[in-house]
Amino acid sequence: MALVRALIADQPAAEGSLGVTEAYLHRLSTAAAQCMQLSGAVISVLTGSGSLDLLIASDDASKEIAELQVTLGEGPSRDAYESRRPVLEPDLGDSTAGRRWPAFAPAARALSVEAEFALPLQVGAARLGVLDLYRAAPGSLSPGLLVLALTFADDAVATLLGANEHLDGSVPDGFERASADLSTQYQAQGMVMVQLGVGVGEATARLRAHAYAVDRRLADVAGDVVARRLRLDRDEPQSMHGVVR
Amino acid sequence: MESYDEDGKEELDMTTISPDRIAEVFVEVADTLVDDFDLIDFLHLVTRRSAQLADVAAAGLLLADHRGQLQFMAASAEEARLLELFQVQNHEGPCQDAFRTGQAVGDADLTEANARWPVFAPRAVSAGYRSVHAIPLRLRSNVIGALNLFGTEAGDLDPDDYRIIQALADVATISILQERTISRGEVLTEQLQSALNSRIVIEQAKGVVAQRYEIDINDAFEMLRSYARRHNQRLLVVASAVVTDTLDYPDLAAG
Repeated sequence: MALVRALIADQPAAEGSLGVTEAYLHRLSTAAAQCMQLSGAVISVLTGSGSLDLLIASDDASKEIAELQVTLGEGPSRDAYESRRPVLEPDLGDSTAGRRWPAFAPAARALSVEAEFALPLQVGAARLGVLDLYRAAPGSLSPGLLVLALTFADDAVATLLGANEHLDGSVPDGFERASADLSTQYQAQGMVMVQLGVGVGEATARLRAHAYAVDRRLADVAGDVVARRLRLDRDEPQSMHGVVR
Repeated sequence: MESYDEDGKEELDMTTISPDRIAEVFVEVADTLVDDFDLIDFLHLVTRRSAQLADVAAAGLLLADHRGQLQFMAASAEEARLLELFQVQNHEGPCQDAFRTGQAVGDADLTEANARWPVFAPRAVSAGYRSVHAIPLRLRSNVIGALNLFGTEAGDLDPDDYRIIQALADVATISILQERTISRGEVLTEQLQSALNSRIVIEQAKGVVAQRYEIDINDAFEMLRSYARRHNQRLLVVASAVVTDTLDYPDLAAG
């Protein structure tokens, strides 16, 4: 994660007046495209309308391909979202891909995309969007690049959940994956859903916002929720970065 | 398996699992591996049968994510104290060793294993366990996780029992990857990521259920599972509905 964060930090700021989350995701997409030698990367975000219609792209050509999947209603990106699993297609020109996406596969190739790797942005049942990676030449991602791609996806998820405190200039603690009791964190998300009457994405963001506000580790806050020592109230601070519903 | 006679002398127990029992378990497992089976529910079955066949108190199954972190997938009993012992093995422990080396790892007496695993061993002992074994989940050169066995008494697994548990672990690996030979390298990542996310959905659903019905988190899994059984639905489908359909969720308490 530290490597990915450094790669993103090296990217120039986006032009125009993007919000802090969108600006960060734009830099994430350009960093991903650059270091994995892709033709482009696109982050599709689920919006309040319930569709993946917020597209943050490394470049206009890639955005066009992502839009094409929305228009045609088919493609690896949509499948990754629906099936909640990565859809890794190293060759859009082979017959299996042609049968699976009869309209999209030839259209993408006409726009010089020969391989697509679509990674769902999600935490369990909380589905936030998809990270799409496009490449001009067919072929698999190497195992090392695949890990890097999944790590970019992790950082995009953290950003969408408002968990990237480093957006505000403070020290990142990432997902605290190595040391934390993750089962407890997921259980706490479910409990907070019921306590606040919100969806799982919002519950996750609210837990993180609470931990941030009281300056405690997320794992400790989650542990208190599951042990019923802490109950979040409806007037808790809202999630801080506003893309997520 | 080691046992002790009335004089306290060690003797080797030559009897292992009966062929009838082995056949019964493998038929049951095969019978569950139908189209559209539920992975978590299936792995839950594998861990329960592994614990029974190996005659140990508990069994659990861990899968490695893309960072090489071992994540909990299923256990014979969904108890917090057991889940904590799995978590700790991201630092050290038999599963970590089995995952890294691809070899089965065991310790017959955890009370004398503090030098080997200074964090894991005392925690396992205070949770009531004396022996531990970890069997790697392997597909050719890939190790994707480990099956973990905990006994309340000191002792090693019988070599024959080992082979049977390894066979169950192999079946679990095939069920996770859903094919015996991975035709494309991508399939491994697709299946593992999907399996890991399924488990997260189950944990979120446990939280919803524990809060909604004011029950202990340890009992929430059984409530979800028994509802899925009663209504002949996949566990993941029920868990997803519980987490995503905040208005139109299934009433797990109803008959």
